[in-house]
Amino acid sequence: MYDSQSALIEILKIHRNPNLEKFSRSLIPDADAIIGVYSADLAAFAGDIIKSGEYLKVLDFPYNVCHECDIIKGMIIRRAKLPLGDKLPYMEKYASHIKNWAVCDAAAVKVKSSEKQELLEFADKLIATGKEFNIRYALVLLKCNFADTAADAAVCFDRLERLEYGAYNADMAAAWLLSEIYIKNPSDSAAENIAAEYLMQSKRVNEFTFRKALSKITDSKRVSDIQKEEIRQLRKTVFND
Amino acid sequence: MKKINARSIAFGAMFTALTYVCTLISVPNGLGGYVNFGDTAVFLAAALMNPFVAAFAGGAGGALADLTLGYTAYAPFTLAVKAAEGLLAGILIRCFATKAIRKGPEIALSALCFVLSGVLMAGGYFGVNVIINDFETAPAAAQLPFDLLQAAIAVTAALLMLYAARLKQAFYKIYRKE
Repeated sequence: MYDSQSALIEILKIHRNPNLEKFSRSLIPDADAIIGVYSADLAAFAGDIIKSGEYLKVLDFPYNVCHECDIIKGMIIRRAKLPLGDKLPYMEKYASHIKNWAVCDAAAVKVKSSEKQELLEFADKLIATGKEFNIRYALVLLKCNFADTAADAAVCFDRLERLEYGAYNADMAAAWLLSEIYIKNPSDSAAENIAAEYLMQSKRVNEFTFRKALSKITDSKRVSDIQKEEIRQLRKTVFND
Repeated sequence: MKKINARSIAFGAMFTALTYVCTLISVPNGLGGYVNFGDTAVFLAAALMNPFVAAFAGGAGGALADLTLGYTAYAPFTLAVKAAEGLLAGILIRCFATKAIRKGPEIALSALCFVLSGVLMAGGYFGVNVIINDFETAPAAAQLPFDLLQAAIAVTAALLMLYAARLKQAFYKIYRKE
């Protein structure tokens, strides 16, 4: 059924929505050819492909041909029940072809605690390339696996301290990571949260990333109204807004 | 207009039930009367959620407890007084306590917000007692110190639970769950 990428594209075209195609094009201007298929449908395709057992073949299809095909590959990488060691070559190949945030975030792999060290080494390798989307992918992986505790957050802060800021997509991922750490490690007051303390102390995080981190916290549905007010006050205090 | 979502409804129901149960728990105050912990639950709702949840929890939880305990005549007044207490506490917390980004000032401002709301509650019940006692002020004045004592206990208990027992952090950990 999924013998070739063109066969997959033909199946995807049946689920095409022209309005979504137009919308996606405006939202993801850097994307390759967009068909216009909803994420829920793509997730269902990814699930079907995994169940069919043909997923490794699909992961070897050429990249940067069709936006939705790449998203499906990312979803397969995320959901396939494979040890991290077996996934890493595919993740590496995937990372080298990322050209936009949507493809990047589709392969946000969550690993077992025994695989975290291996994942961290992979993330470090991605960060070392200095490429905008490689850095974003590394930070997204950190967000999914290293935001739950203060000890994990320290690992993230160490990486964030060594980042070169200024690339939009990487900065946004840094902001996302910091907001996740803030939400998952609540404190009695806004300024005493480990993520807020890091943001205020770091000499490297730029103002854009700082502001976006605070915005992402106030946009989250997982944050109470009171926490949002505290964050708005923190922003006023720090930036004199 | 703020959207009412499933999370607000679920936590609103939880705080209403908490207020109801805490109001049913009455302990002797050592002065011949009883105090309950309903106001503590209202303050917690105000500090952890928002003014509307606190108002609903206070009004509905308190009035239902009055009906359960047989104070039927007080129930409609409790609905109004405790809702006002929750609303005021929530608004004050949002306007003032959230201005403090550090724990020390936040505790002090929260205490002030709770005290003002507690005074409103005691003043409200003073008015209710005047009405219920055919506009005689003496019985209402005799009850006033007990209501103020209850408010003071509620302020202390709420602050201890929020900050000493780390309820605020624990609640946010539950709140963030998807």
